[in-house]
Amino acid sequence: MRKLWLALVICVLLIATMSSLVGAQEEITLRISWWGSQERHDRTMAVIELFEERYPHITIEPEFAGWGDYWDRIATQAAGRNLPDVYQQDMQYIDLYSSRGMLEDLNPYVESGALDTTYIADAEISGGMIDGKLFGINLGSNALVAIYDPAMFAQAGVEPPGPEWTWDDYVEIGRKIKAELGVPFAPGLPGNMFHAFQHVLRQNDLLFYAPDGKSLGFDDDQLLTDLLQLELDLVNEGVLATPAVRDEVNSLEDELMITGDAATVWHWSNAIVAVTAAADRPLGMITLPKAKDQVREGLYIKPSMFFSVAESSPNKDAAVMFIDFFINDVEANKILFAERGVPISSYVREELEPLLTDVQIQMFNYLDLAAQHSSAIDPPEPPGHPEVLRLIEDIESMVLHGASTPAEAAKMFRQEANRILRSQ
Amino acid sequence: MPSLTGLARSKNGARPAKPYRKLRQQNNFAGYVFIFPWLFGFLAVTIIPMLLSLYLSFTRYDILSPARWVGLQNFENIFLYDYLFTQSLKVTFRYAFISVPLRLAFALFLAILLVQPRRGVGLYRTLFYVPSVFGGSIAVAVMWRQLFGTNGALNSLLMSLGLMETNFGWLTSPQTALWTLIILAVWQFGSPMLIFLAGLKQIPASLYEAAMIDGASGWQSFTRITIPMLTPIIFFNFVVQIISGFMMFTQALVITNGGPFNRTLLYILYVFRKGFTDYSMGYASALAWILLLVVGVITAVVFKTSSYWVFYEAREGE
Repeated sequence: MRKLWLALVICVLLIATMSSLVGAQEEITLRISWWGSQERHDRTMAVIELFEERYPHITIEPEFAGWGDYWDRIATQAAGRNLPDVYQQDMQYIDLYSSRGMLEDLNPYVESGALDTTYIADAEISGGMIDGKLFGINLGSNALVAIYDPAMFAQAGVEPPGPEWTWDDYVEIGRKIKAELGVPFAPGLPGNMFHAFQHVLRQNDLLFYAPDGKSLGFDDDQLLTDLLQLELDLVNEGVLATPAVRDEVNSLEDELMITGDAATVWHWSNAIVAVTAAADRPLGMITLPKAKDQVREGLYIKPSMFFSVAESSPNKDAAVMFIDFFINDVEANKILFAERGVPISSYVREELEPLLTDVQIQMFNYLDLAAQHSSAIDPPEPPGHPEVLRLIEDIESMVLHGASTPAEAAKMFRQEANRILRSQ
Repeated sequence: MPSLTGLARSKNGARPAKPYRKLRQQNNFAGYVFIFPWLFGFLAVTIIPMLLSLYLSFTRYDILSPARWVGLQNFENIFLYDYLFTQSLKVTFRYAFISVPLRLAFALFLAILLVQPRRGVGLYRTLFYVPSVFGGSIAVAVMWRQLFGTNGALNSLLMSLGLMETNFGWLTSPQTALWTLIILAVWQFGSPMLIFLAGLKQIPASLYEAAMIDGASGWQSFTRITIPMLTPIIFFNFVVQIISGFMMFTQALVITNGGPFNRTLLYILYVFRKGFTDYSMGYASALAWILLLVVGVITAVVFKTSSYWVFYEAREGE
């Protein structure tokens, strides 16, 4: 009898201590950092509040800034070994940061189920993958788009192009618009020099950068020469805007298409919401032109940005929990409302669909269309990319100002770009 | 009890050499206290970072990983392969050696106008100084962009006067972009103007009177009296302004940001890009130290030549 009592007491004690252990969860503070506009800050803050309600033992300290300041700050924090637990990453920087050991491989969390990828297609995840390691979770998908003003096309008597249009159609339509309306067809090449050239390279099944990131990935300068020549011709004809006119565009509101001074403008697809709001009239979205005998689709679906976990974070489990909440929770995504791009979870997408505005439906539909006319994304840009990007803009400017011929410029680009990449 | 005896001695009024020295030391101490804020700032935010950057200039440092010693590799890359280094140096020399003489000439011209006693001259002096107060600000840089922009004020003025047919991109044309920065620099003539004003007032009126009696024209007394008497001031202004010309950054970043194709890539702008956009802090540090040497050499040359053209009254009197 006594033994039974003793056993009972011990049992009660054990249960009591265990439950008190479970109840007294450790207080955790997570630092989360992102860049973006005011709209993004407001939405993200609201989701953070929702998360804190759901998990009262986690307190979140948000840090946010505009794009430029953000990267200055992250670099300083990285140098001080003081990175936020969760921070937004971009295709341009993810290779640099992961190669310096600043990012946690998230694969184990996917395998353990802490990061639920049930409703997420592999293609949506692969953008954050480097050498088989998952360094960032895509927060929304984007594709390059040519946004056009249907009213201007109608006025010029030009049928808006379909997804099968080619570079030849591009030039032809551009000339017609210029002839009929007297304004440029577009401010510049689709996606500006870098993206336009990458588009051309991809259509030839070539890489911009060699896989090791130490040199350019293509051998023939003719492609760049031709593209520069095309742009020069089109600028001289007035089909594309001059550099002086382009320089006047400092914000979305100044975009030539919005002010009626051009018929199209290129953007990333998530910008359609803001562009339509600024233009205050319905706009069309179309994929970039194809090449006549293209080997491969030039267009690709790009992760608009990632959430990554700092390798130095002491609270990796909580950090992963936050990311999981951010991408999978329907309530959270109703607040975020695809502001970072189309959500990667198909389940979230379905749940959001009835709530979407016309412009957002247009964006979702465009992404579906783009997915049918795209091929896999190139590997993330190597650490020398910001410098190479400036270089290609410089040689473009030299050609447009007549300071260099397209062939000379292409040759100089190869020489300097390889030097930059080699020295990284 | 030494303290008591000390007290007693001082009470006796015997304070020759030793206490006097003590007093002087106390004076020094007070001086150090007064300059402490500056001294602290000088050591903490100037000297120590400078030494650090000297060290970094021999390393590869991408901020994200620890600095790695590479010896002279940065300097080798800069001198042998970096065309933007030569380009930015060229741009900076052009900028400094065009804008500084223009600015000094303009400042001297206005100082001569403003030194004459006439009604409201104090107000004019203040008004003319105003651009220098906010000329370095971001707001003025943004205004400059508007002024010289394709749809800017200058173009509409020229077109309404019938001097131009179509808009011209002053900021994007390789021929004119640097000039927009030079004009902004000339416009900030305030501080050399004030120094010239003070210098002009120092010239004894008797010299001009004597010249007038001898029948010198206004131009003659300007070239034979004003300019020689002002040479120490011109020298001082020239050195100070050349150094600040080499450090031009903010407005260049906002107005042209180096474009078109690096025609306005001022040296500091390039250093900034290397360091903060490309994460090459070691390389940027090496660039910065090269600039220090370049500015040092230029200053030394100006000093060396000064004995040929700077006129010091005191020395003549020796």
